[in-house]
Amino acid sequence: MTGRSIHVAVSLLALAGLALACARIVAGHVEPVALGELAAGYMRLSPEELTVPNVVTGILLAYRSFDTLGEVAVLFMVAASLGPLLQPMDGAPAPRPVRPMPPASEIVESGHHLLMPFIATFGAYVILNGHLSAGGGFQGGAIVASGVGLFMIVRVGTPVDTRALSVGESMAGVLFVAIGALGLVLGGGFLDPRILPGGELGRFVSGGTIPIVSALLGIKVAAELSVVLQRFRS
Amino acid sequence: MIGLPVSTLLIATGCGLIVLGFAAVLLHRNILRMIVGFSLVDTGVAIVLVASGYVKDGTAPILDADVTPDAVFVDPVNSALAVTAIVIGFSVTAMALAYAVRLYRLHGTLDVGAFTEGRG
Repeated sequence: MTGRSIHVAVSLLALAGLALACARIVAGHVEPVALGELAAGYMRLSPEELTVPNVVTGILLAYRSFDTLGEVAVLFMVAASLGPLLQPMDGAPAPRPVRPMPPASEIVESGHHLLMPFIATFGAYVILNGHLSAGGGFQGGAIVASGVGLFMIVRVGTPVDTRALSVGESMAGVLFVAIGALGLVLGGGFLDPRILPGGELGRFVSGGTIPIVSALLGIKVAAELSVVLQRFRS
Repeated sequence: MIGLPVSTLLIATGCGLIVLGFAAVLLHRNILRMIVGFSLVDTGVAIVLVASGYVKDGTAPILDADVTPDAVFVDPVNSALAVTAIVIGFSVTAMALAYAVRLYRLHGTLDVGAFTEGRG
Protein backbone atom coordinates (compact mmCIF):
# COMPACT_ATOMS: atom_id res chain seq x y z
CA MET A 1 0.00 0.00 0.00
CA THR A 2 2.63 2.55 -0.94
CA GLY A 3 0.06 4.49 -2.99
CA ARG A 4 -2.02 4.91 0.11
CA SER A 5 0.89 6.13 2.23
CA ILE A 6 1.92 8.63 -0.46
CA HIS A 7 -1.68 9.84 -0.52
CA VAL A 8 -1.69 10.27 3.26
CA ALA A 9 1.65 12.09 3.20
CA VAL A 10 0.54 14.53 0.48
CA SER A 11 -2.79 15.09 2.27
CA LEU A 12 -1.04 15.82 5.56
CA LEU A 13 1.27 18.27 3.78
CA ALA A 14 -1.70 20.08 2.21
CA LEU A 15 -3.48 20.18 5.56
CA ALA A 16 -0.39 21.58 7.24
CA GLY A 17 -0.29 24.33 4.62
CA LEU A 18 -3.95 25.10 5.14
CA ALA A 19 -3.50 25.16 8.91
CA LEU A 20 -0.54 27.53 8.52
CA ALA A 21 -2.62 29.89 6.33
CA CYS A 22 -5.45 29.78 8.89
CA ALA A 23 -3.04 30.45 11.74
CA ARG A 24 -1.74 33.52 9.90
CA ILE A 25 -5.32 34.78 9.42
CA VAL A 26 -6.11 34.28 13.10
CA ALA A 27 -2.85 35.88 14.23
CA GLY A 28 -3.37 38.87 11.95
CA HIS A 29 -6.98 39.46 12.92
CA VAL A 30 -7.70 42.72 14.69
CA GLU A 31 -11.22 43.37 15.91
CA PRO A 32 -12.41 46.50 14.05
CA VAL A 33 -13.83 49.37 16.05
CA ALA A 34 -15.98 50.87 13.28
CA LEU A 35 -17.82 49.68 10.20
CA GLY A 36 -16.29 49.82 6.75
CA GLU A 37 -17.53 52.36 4.23
CA LEU A 38 -19.85 49.96 2.37
CA ALA A 39 -21.44 48.54 5.52
CA ALA A 40 -21.88 52.01 7.04
CA GLY A 41 -23.56 53.10 3.81
CA TYR A 42 -25.99 50.20 3.96
CA MET A 43 -26.67 50.94 7.64
CA ARG A 44 -27.56 54.53 6.75
CA LEU A 45 -29.44 53.91 3.49
CA SER A 46 -31.53 50.86 4.36
CA PRO A 47 -33.75 52.61 6.95
CA GLU A 48 -33.83 55.86 4.96
CA GLU A 49 -34.35 54.67 1.39
CA LEU A 50 -36.13 51.36 1.89
CA THR A 51 -37.76 51.94 5.33
CA VAL A 52 -36.47 48.51 6.33
CA PRO A 53 -35.08 48.45 9.89
CA ASN A 54 -33.50 45.01 9.45
CA VAL A 55 -30.48 45.95 7.35
CA VAL A 56 -29.58 42.32 6.59
CA THR A 57 -32.97 41.83 4.92
CA GLY A 58 -32.51 45.14 3.13
CA ILE A 59 -29.23 43.88 1.68
CA LEU A 60 -30.58 40.44 0.82
CA LEU A 61 -33.81 41.58 -0.83
CA ALA A 62 -32.92 44.97 -2.27
CA TYR A 63 -29.24 45.80 -2.69
CA ARG A 64 -28.09 42.28 -3.45
CA SER A 65 -31.43 40.77 -4.47
CA PHE A 66 -29.99 39.48 -7.74
CA ASP A 67 -27.72 37.27 -5.63
CA THR A 68 -30.75 36.05 -3.72
CA LEU A 69 -32.48 35.17 -6.99
CA GLY A 70 -29.42 33.19 -8.06
CA GLU A 71 -29.36 31.41 -4.72
CA VAL A 72 -33.00 30.39 -5.08
CA ALA A 73 -32.23 29.23 -8.61
CA VAL A 74 -29.48 26.98 -7.21
CA LEU A 75 -31.94 25.54 -4.66
CA PHE A 76 -34.46 24.99 -7.45
CA MET A 77 -31.91 23.18 -9.60
CA VAL A 78 -30.96 20.93 -6.67
CA ALA A 79 -34.60 20.09 -5.96
CA ALA A 80 -35.22 19.39 -9.65
CA SER A 81 -32.10 17.31 -10.27
CA LEU A 82 -32.53 15.11 -7.19
CA GLY A 83 -35.54 13.45 -8.88
CA PRO A 84 -33.67 11.96 -11.86
CA LEU A 85 -30.56 11.31 -9.72
CA LEU A 86 -32.41 9.20 -7.18
CA GLN A 87 -34.52 7.29 -9.74
CA PRO A 88 -33.78 3.57 -9.97
CA MET A 89 -31.33 3.00 -12.82
CA ASP A 90 -31.88 0.58 -15.69
CA GLY A 91 -29.43 -2.25 -15.84
CA ALA A 92 -28.24 -1.73 -12.28
CA PRO A 93 -28.90 -4.41 -9.68
CA ALA A 94 -32.21 -3.72 -7.98
CA PRO A 95 -31.78 -1.92 -4.66
CA ARG A 96 -31.94 -4.28 -1.77
CA PRO A 97 -35.45 -4.57 -0.32
CA VAL A 98 -35.64 -2.17 2.57
CA ARG A 99 -37.51 -3.52 5.56
CA PRO A 100 -40.70 -1.58 6.18
CA MET A 101 -40.32 1.34 8.55
CA PRO A 102 -42.04 0.78 11.90
CA PRO A 103 -44.76 3.29 12.72
CA ALA A 104 -43.72 6.30 14.77
CA SER A 105 -43.82 5.88 18.53
CA GLU A 106 -46.46 7.52 20.68
CA ILE A 107 -44.07 10.20 21.93
CA VAL A 108 -43.22 11.30 18.39
CA GLU A 109 -46.89 11.15 17.40
CA SER A 110 -48.06 13.29 20.35
CA GLY A 111 -45.13 15.64 19.92
CA HIS A 112 -46.10 16.08 16.29
CA HIS A 113 -49.69 16.99 17.23
CA LEU A 114 -48.50 19.38 19.91
CA LEU A 115 -45.69 21.08 17.98
CA MET A 116 -47.00 21.24 14.43
CA PRO A 117 -49.22 24.36 14.89
CA PHE A 118 -46.40 26.17 16.67
CA ILE A 119 -43.82 25.29 14.04
CA ALA A 120 -46.10 26.44 11.21
CA THR A 121 -47.09 29.65 13.03
CA PHE A 122 -43.51 30.47 13.98
CA GLY A 123 -42.37 29.83 10.41
CA ALA A 124 -45.02 32.17 9.04
CA TYR A 125 -44.11 34.78 11.68
CA VAL A 126 -40.41 34.64 10.83
CA ILE A 127 -41.16 34.89 7.10
CA LEU A 128 -43.55 37.84 7.43
CA ASN A 129 -41.50 39.82 9.95
CA GLY A 130 -38.24 39.49 8.05
CA HIS A 131 -38.12 43.22 7.34
CA LEU A 132 -38.70 44.19 11.00
CA SER A 133 -36.74 41.73 13.11
CA ALA A 134 -34.29 38.87 12.69
CA GLY A 135 -35.60 36.46 10.07
CA GLY A 136 -36.76 36.44 6.50
CA GLY A 137 -37.78 34.16 3.67
CA PHE A 138 -34.88 31.72 3.88
CA GLN A 139 -34.99 31.26 7.63
CA GLY A 140 -38.79 30.98 7.89
CA GLY A 141 -38.90 28.64 4.90
CA ALA A 142 -36.39 26.37 6.60
CA ILE A 143 -38.55 26.36 9.78
CA VAL A 144 -41.67 25.39 7.79
CA ALA A 145 -39.71 22.67 5.98
CA SER A 146 -38.54 21.30 9.35
CA GLY A 147 -42.24 20.95 10.22
CA VAL A 148 -42.73 19.01 6.97
CA GLY A 149 -39.77 16.84 7.99
CA LEU A 150 -41.49 16.07 11.31
CA PHE A 151 -44.66 15.18 9.40
CA MET A 152 -42.64 12.77 7.25
CA ILE A 153 -41.23 11.06 10.33
CA VAL A 154 -44.67 10.62 11.88
CA ARG A 155 -46.68 9.64 8.78
CA VAL A 156 -44.21 7.08 7.51
CA GLY A 157 -46.23 5.79 4.57
CA THR A 158 -47.81 9.03 3.40
CA PRO A 159 -45.99 10.57 0.45
CA VAL A 160 -45.86 14.33 0.11
CA ASP A 161 -47.19 15.52 -3.24
CA THR A 162 -44.04 16.88 -4.89
CA ARG A 163 -45.96 17.94 -7.99
CA ALA A 164 -48.26 20.28 -6.01
CA LEU A 165 -45.22 21.63 -4.16
CA SER A 166 -43.44 22.24 -7.46
CA VAL A 167 -46.46 24.12 -8.83
CA GLY A 168 -46.63 26.36 -5.74
CA GLU A 169 -42.88 26.87 -5.85
CA SER A 170 -42.91 27.80 -9.54
CA MET A 171 -45.78 30.26 -9.03
CA ALA A 172 -43.83 31.94 -6.23
CA GLY A 173 -40.75 32.05 -8.46
CA VAL A 174 -42.66 33.59 -11.39
CA LEU A 175 -44.22 36.22 -9.12
CA PHE A 176 -40.78 36.96 -7.63
CA VAL A 177 -39.30 37.62 -11.07
CA ALA A 178 -42.43 39.55 -12.13
CA ILE A 179 -42.04 41.89 -9.15
CA GLY A 180 -38.38 42.22 -10.07
CA ALA A 181 -39.30 43.15 -13.64
CA LEU A 182 -41.85 45.67 -12.36
CA GLY A 183 -39.03 47.26 -10.40
CA LEU A 184 -37.11 47.51 -13.66
CA VAL A 185 -40.01 49.36 -15.32
CA LEU A 186 -41.37 51.48 -12.49
CA GLY A 187 -38.45 51.77 -10.09
CA GLY A 188 -34.72 52.19 -10.30
CA GLY A 189 -33.71 48.67 -11.31
CA PHE A 190 -34.37 44.95 -11.09
CA LEU A 191 -36.17 44.07 -7.82
CA ASP A 192 -36.25 47.69 -6.65
CA PRO A 193 -38.63 47.53 -3.64
CA ARG A 194 -39.59 51.20 -3.87
CA ILE A 195 -42.34 50.66 -6.44
CA LEU A 196 -44.76 50.53 -3.49
CA PRO A 197 -44.82 53.32 -0.91
CA GLY A 198 -42.24 52.83 1.81
CA GLY A 199 -44.60 53.56 4.69
CA GLU A 200 -43.45 54.26 8.22
CA LEU A 201 -40.24 52.74 9.58
CA GLY A 202 -40.96 49.79 11.85
CA ARG A 203 -44.61 49.24 10.84
CA PHE A 204 -45.72 45.85 9.55
CA VAL A 205 -46.85 47.31 6.23
CA SER A 206 -43.70 49.13 5.17
CA GLY A 207 -40.61 48.71 3.06
CA GLY A 208 -42.33 48.67 -0.33
CA THR A 209 -42.37 45.23 -1.93
CA ILE A 210 -39.92 43.68 0.55
CA PRO A 211 -42.54 41.89 2.71
CA ILE A 212 -44.20 40.48 -0.43
CA VAL A 213 -40.90 39.33 -1.90
CA SER A 214 -39.94 37.86 1.48
CA ALA A 215 -43.21 35.89 1.68
CA LEU A 216 -42.72 34.57 -1.87
CA LEU A 217 -39.17 33.60 -1.00
CA GLY A 218 -40.42 31.81 2.12
CA ILE A 219 -42.98 29.80 0.11
CA LYS A 220 -40.36 28.94 -2.47
CA VAL A 221 -37.71 27.85 0.02
CA ALA A 222 -40.19 25.84 2.12
CA ALA A 223 -41.49 24.04 -0.99
CA GLU A 224 -38.01 23.37 -2.33
CA LEU A 225 -36.69 21.99 0.96
CA SER A 226 -39.80 19.81 1.32
CA VAL A 227 -39.26 18.44 -2.19
CA VAL A 228 -35.63 17.66 -1.30
CA LEU A 229 -36.74 15.83 1.87
CA GLN A 230 -39.40 13.86 -0.01
CA ARG A 231 -36.95 12.87 -2.76
CA PHE A 232 -34.57 11.40 -0.20
CA ARG A 233 -37.44 9.62 1.55
CA SER A 234 -38.82 7.84 -1.49
CA MET B 1 -10.61 35.55 30.52
CA ILE B 2 -7.62 35.32 28.28
CA GLY B 3 -6.96 38.60 26.57
CA LEU B 4 -8.13 37.56 23.08
CA PRO B 5 -11.22 39.24 21.63
CA VAL B 6 -14.29 37.06 21.01
CA SER B 7 -14.19 37.44 17.24
CA THR B 8 -10.59 36.22 17.07
CA LEU B 9 -11.52 33.15 19.12
CA LEU B 10 -14.48 32.51 16.80
CA ILE B 11 -12.32 32.86 13.70
CA ALA B 12 -9.87 30.38 15.24
CA THR B 13 -12.78 27.97 15.87
CA GLY B 14 -14.05 28.37 12.31
CA CYS B 15 -10.56 27.83 10.86
CA GLY B 16 -10.21 24.73 13.05
CA LEU B 17 -13.48 23.37 11.63
CA ILE B 18 -12.31 24.09 8.08
CA VAL B 19 -9.01 22.24 8.60
CA LEU B 20 -10.84 19.37 10.33
CA GLY B 21 -13.34 19.15 7.47
CA PHE B 22 -10.61 19.05 4.81
CA ALA B 23 -8.80 16.41 6.86
CA ALA B 24 -11.95 14.28 6.80
CA VAL B 25 -12.32 14.80 3.04
CA LEU B 26 -8.71 13.91 2.28
CA LEU B 27 -8.03 11.11 4.74
CA HIS B 28 -11.28 9.12 4.90
CA ARG B 29 -12.22 6.55 2.30
CA ASN B 30 -15.93 6.39 3.10
CA ILE B 31 -17.97 8.82 0.98
CA LEU B 32 -20.43 9.60 3.78
CA ARG B 33 -17.55 10.71 6.02
CA MET B 34 -16.22 12.88 3.21
CA ILE B 35 -19.65 14.53 2.92
CA VAL B 36 -19.63 15.17 6.67
CA GLY B 37 -16.22 16.76 6.11
CA PHE B 38 -17.63 19.10 3.45
CA SER B 39 -20.44 20.05 5.87
CA LEU B 40 -17.83 20.89 8.51
CA VAL B 41 -16.03 23.13 6.00
CA ASP B 42 -19.33 24.91 5.25
CA THR B 43 -20.00 25.50 8.92
CA GLY B 44 -16.47 26.73 9.50
CA VAL B 45 -16.69 29.18 6.61
CA ALA B 46 -20.01 30.55 7.91
CA ILE B 47 -18.50 31.04 11.39
CA VAL B 48 -15.44 32.80 9.96
CA LEU B 49 -17.67 35.05 7.80
CA VAL B 50 -19.87 36.16 10.68
CA ALA B 51 -16.97 36.51 13.12
CA SER B 52 -14.92 38.64 10.73
CA GLY B 53 -17.83 41.08 10.53
CA TYR B 54 -17.91 41.65 14.26
CA VAL B 55 -17.24 45.21 15.36
CA LYS B 56 -16.11 45.85 18.92
CA ASP B 57 -19.17 46.18 21.21
CA GLY B 58 -21.43 46.10 18.18
CA THR B 59 -25.11 45.19 18.23
CA ALA B 60 -27.25 43.41 15.62
CA PRO B 61 -27.87 45.55 12.50
CA ILE B 62 -31.60 45.84 13.20
CA LEU B 63 -33.10 49.18 14.18
CA ASP B 64 -35.95 49.29 16.66
CA ALA B 65 -37.22 51.46 19.50
CA ASP B 66 -34.19 50.73 21.71
CA VAL B 67 -31.49 51.05 19.06
CA THR B 68 -30.72 54.42 17.55
CA PRO B 69 -29.04 54.72 14.14
CA ASP B 70 -25.85 56.07 15.71
CA ALA B 71 -25.21 52.97 17.82
CA VAL B 72 -22.31 50.65 16.94
CA PHE B 73 -23.44 47.82 14.65
CA VAL B 74 -21.81 44.65 13.40
CA ASP B 75 -21.26 44.34 9.65
CA PRO B 76 -24.59 43.43 7.95
CA VAL B 77 -22.86 42.42 4.70
CA ASN B 78 -21.18 39.45 6.35
CA SER B 79 -24.47 38.23 7.81
CA ALA B 80 -26.10 38.42 4.37
CA LEU B 81 -23.16 36.51 2.86
CA ALA B 82 -23.44 33.87 5.58
CA VAL B 83 -27.07 33.23 4.58
CA THR B 84 -25.90 32.63 1.02
CA ALA B 85 -23.11 30.35 2.21
CA ILE B 86 -25.50 28.27 4.31
CA VAL B 87 -27.96 27.81 1.44
CA ILE B 88 -25.24 26.82 -1.01
CA GLY B 89 -23.74 24.48 1.60
CA PHE B 90 -27.12 22.79 1.97
CA SER B 91 -27.39 22.39 -1.80
CA VAL B 92 -23.89 20.91 -2.05
CA THR B 93 -24.62 18.44 0.75
CA ALA B 94 -27.92 17.38 -0.83
CA MET B 95 -26.29 16.80 -4.23
CA ALA B 96 -23.36 14.91 -2.71
CA LEU B 97 -25.72 12.65 -0.75
CA ALA B 98 -27.76 11.94 -3.89
CA TYR B 99 -24.60 10.92 -5.73
CA ALA B 100 -23.62 8.75 -2.76
CA VAL B 101 -26.99 6.97 -2.95
CA ARG B 102 -26.51 6.45 -6.68
CA LEU B 103 -22.96 5.12 -6.29
CA TYR B 104 -24.09 2.77 -3.54
CA ARG B 105 -26.84 1.41 -5.78
CA LEU B 106 -24.35 0.90 -8.62
CA HIS B 107 -21.43 -0.60 -6.66
CA GLY B 108 -22.94 -1.75 -3.37
CA THR B 109 -20.26 0.07 -1.38
CA LEU B 110 -19.37 3.57 -0.25
CA ASP B 111 -15.58 3.05 -0.29
CA VAL B 112 -13.88 5.46 -2.72
CA GLY B 113 -11.20 2.84 -3.37
CA ALA B 114 -13.78 0.62 -5.05
CA PHE B 115 -14.61 3.30 -7.63
CA THR B 116 -11.05 3.91 -8.80
CA GLU B 117 -9.99 0.25 -9.16
CA GLY B 118 -9.75 -1.12 -12.67
CA ARG B 119 -8.79 2.17 -14.23
CA GLY B 120 -5.20 1.04 -14.55
